[in-house]
Amino acid sequence: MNNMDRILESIKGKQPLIENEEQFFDKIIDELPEREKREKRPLQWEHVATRALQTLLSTAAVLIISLFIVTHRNTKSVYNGSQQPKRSIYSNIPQCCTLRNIYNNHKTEYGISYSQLKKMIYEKN
Amino acid sequence: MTPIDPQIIQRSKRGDKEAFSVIVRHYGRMIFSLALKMMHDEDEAKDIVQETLIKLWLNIEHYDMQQSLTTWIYTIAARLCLDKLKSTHPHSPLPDDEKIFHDYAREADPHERLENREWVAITKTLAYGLSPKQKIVFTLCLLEGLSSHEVEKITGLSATQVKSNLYAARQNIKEILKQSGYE
Repeated sequence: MNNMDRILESIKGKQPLIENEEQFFDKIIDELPEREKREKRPLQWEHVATRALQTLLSTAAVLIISLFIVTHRNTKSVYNGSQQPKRSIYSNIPQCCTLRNIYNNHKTEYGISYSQLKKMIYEKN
Repeated sequence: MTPIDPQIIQRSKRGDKEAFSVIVRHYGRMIFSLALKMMHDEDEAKDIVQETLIKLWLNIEHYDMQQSLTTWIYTIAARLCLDKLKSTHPHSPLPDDEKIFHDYAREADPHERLENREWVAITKTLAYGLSPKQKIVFTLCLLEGLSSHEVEKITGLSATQVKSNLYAARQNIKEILKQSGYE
């Protein structure tokens, strides 16, 4: 056994003594705080308050999410129903007409040239 | 440490101060022993005994009878010691402490009863330079004689952490003894 082990073994498990042990322990016991009155009631009150707050917050969260969904759905349906595609001067052109027919029709109505009309049709496509 | 009568614990749980006084007398010296070896100061050790017992009194109604009360008390006391150690500067051994330690190391009689002054000097010299964690593991394992498993429960450290802290503590003591010419 080396010196370190010898020293450690010689002090292992030994306990120092407390001076005036009995008086010291009596003083501790006398100074112990009251337990039951101090602890139980606030704990119960805290528990109820925490529960109420949890319920309130959960309800508020559900309401906010529902409101968001309902509002979002209405906006979407309004948008779908009311939106009209933009109309241009060549929107009324019948599908079966040739370019010549269209030119003749619109030359008098809008006063545009053949090349302008052709350009507009290409832009449409 | 011999376990205390479960009836005493039950009565203490119900708020019986007389029953609790039995616990105070049964475990008080054990707490003082740990605190003195950790703090190296008799007054601070007494403060820790008082704080531990007050905490125990206020929380004993939540104590699980399946657990060891000794381990539970050691856990409270060890945490209080660590908190105090973190907030204070480490005590370096004084020339008087070193003299007491040298005198003891020369003989190291296992039957010798040590005075508190000697406990302070010896533990202060041996634990000098250890971190608070190493110090608590060293004190519980090597001075209080608890098993590694109990130390794990008390400190919340893993088996590997306890081993490595103990190894570091032993190396530190070896170095101290080497410098003093005892190793």
